[in-house]
Amino acid sequence: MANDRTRGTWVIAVSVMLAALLAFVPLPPWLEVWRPKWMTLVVIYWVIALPHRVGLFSAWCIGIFTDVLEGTLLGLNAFTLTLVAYGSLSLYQRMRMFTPLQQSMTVLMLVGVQQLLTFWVLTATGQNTATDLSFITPALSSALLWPLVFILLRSWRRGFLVY
Amino acid sequence: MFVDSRFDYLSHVRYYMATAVTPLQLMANWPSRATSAITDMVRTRTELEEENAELREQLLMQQYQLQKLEHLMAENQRLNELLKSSAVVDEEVMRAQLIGESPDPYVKRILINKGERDGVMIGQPVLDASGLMGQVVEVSALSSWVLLITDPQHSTPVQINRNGVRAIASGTRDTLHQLTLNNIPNTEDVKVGDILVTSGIGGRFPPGYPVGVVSSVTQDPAKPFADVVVTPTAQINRSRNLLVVFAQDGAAAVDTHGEPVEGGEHGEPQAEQHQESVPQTTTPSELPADAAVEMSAVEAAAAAQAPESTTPASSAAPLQVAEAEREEAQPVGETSNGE
Repeated sequence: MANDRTRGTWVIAVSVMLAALLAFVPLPPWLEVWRPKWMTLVVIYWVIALPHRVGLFSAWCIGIFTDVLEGTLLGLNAFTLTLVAYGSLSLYQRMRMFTPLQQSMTVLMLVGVQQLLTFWVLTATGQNTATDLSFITPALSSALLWPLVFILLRSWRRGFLVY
Repeated sequence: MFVDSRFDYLSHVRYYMATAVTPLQLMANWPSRATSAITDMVRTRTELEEENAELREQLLMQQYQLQKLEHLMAENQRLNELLKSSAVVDEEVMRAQLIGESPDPYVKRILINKGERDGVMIGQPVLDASGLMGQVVEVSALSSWVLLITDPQHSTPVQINRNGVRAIASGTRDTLHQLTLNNIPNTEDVKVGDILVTSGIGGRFPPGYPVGVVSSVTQDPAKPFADVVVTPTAQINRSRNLLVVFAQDGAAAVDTHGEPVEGGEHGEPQAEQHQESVPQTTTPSELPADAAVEMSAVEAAAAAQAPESTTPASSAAPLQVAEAEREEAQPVGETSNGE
């Protein structure tokens, strides 16, 4: 029982790596606008499933990793992912009881807030070029794909007995 | 975040972390590489033969052009020596491959497989076979990020090959990879099909590399400036084989971790460009940028109110003066100027 808290950390790490790959794979331009926020989905899942293991600090680390990977402003994803993790932490008991549709709506809200924060930070640092609501499309696609991600990650977690 | 955007304390941290994630970026690029490898494998023999013949023909034509070019280069060098101007700088290039691009569809950045180990520095221009692609903005040990000329935050100082008119080509937000020319007066001599080359002003890009072809010019009399859309000559969203340029005198490459975007250069070249349409004023260097912009805006508005028939004449006169000025003032390597 003593090693319960560390067992299967690699399972989490591998899922984050896979999400990183998906987040960086080149896509055609029309699809790129709709690219889901894979990293955010994975962070939300692990926070809901294992709130005692994956929390704000893990989210921050994953965020820094994303920043370096995508070449964005260092700390941008770390900041937004930490806030998303905070949101999921305060919602996890309800999220577990929700139907898939309700979960998707919550994810839509979380990713939407993340995108909005990203938008604000980019504007504040003078890097923003968007003038419309196009930053919301990843939130929609993330919400659509959430049930699939949820089922996959849950079977992945249960298959390796990570609790 | 704040620290990263304003200072460069974190550039070393960033450098090591970016180096650490390079393998992952390479892996993410693997599917698209595999697809192109597979399409190469399953080509039919006839297709290959056709392509071979086409390439042979292309090679023949280009070798013919090269013969002429060598002659012209020698002649140009001699003429420059006669004019006692500085010699044309030779650049060296290094081959690089594209290994990734920015996941954000509105940030036009690509990742190449050459980094500090290969001598890449921030600020180096990057070309493909047919034109300018962008400049290096971030370097890690094994890879570096290149900001494309079509990024909305990037501006390139350019010059029209036909008549030497200088302008600034900025990227746009659309996903079609196009450029626009800023602050071109309605009376300026810009036509569809004009070839734009780098002007060398600003010192970041060496002069003479093709940037784009003017694809549309819209002159709205109600606006002070014309809308000029430029299609880049480089195959911005298709090229996988790129060239990183090393300037031999080190003028183009700035080895700092500073803000690389060309935004700061907006003022100077703009002012110079407008002085071409207002050549009667004081000497170029004494005139502040704002004054020049205001003046030419007023002049452009006046010209726009005038009837159509007089417009070419009024624009032609300053241009000729500008031509004369340029022949005195500009020594370095524009081969096809003022023919």
